[in-house]
Amino acid sequence: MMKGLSNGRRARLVSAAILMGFVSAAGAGSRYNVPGVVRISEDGQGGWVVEGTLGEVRNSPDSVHRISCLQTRTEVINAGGLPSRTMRVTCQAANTERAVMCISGSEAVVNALNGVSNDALLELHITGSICTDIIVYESSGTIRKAA
Amino acid sequence: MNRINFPAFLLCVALSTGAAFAGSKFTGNGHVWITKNADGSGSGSGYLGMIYNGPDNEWIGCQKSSTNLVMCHAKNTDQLIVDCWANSAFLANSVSSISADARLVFIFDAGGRCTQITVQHSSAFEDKQ
Repeated sequence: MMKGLSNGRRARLVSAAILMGFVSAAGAGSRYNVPGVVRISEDGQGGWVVEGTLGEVRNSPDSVHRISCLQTRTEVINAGGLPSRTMRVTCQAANTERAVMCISGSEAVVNALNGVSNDALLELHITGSICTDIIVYESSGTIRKAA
Repeated sequence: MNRINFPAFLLCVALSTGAAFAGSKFTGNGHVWITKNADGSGSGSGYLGMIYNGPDNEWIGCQKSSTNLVMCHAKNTDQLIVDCWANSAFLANSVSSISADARLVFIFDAGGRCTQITVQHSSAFEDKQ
């Protein structure tokens, strides 16, 4: 659904979707809940869009729920002093209906995880087994991890 | 197309976190793990939140400077300390992605230069309390 959209258009749609997820908590600021805790939905073009916050997913009573991204950067300096660099990100998510995973060696996609916090919302766009985009959302409303 | 075998996925997740299958919670001890080879190369790894919350005298971390000087170091429960350094904007990006509950792995060569930094963020990882 969002694959054909520009990054700006996509970002606006994502922002709108996020705004709809906010609910007010009694005596507290608004909280953002992801429908189904880990939402894995088809993007209409054979791919998937995954959404989940690290805090809400961890706090879920359902042990199947999971969202995770692992990034690795390797830099080796050769005998001539020239660096050889590789990077890779692997993301995984699961809910009660399905599990998906994706990988990418794209610098832009890997760098999207720079600065991600312990209670961030991760939105993964997956085509085949490739992470085509990772969107990180930080907010007062994302639910923090409980003990 | 990209649907995967669910049991295989769960096994993969368990293996990737070094734990027996643990659902959405990582149940390993999260301790600092250090390897040191005869040539001086080695690695350090650990789970920042679990180490912080634990009772043991151990630590792990990385820093970066405005000049992209990167340093990673760790001490395990045997009081073994390792560290590595690199002057690399590339590896400094990895330090930028470390959060309070991340899993951190760094690898260094025989010269003490950091050659690889891995950062993992997961809903399964315990936060600092």
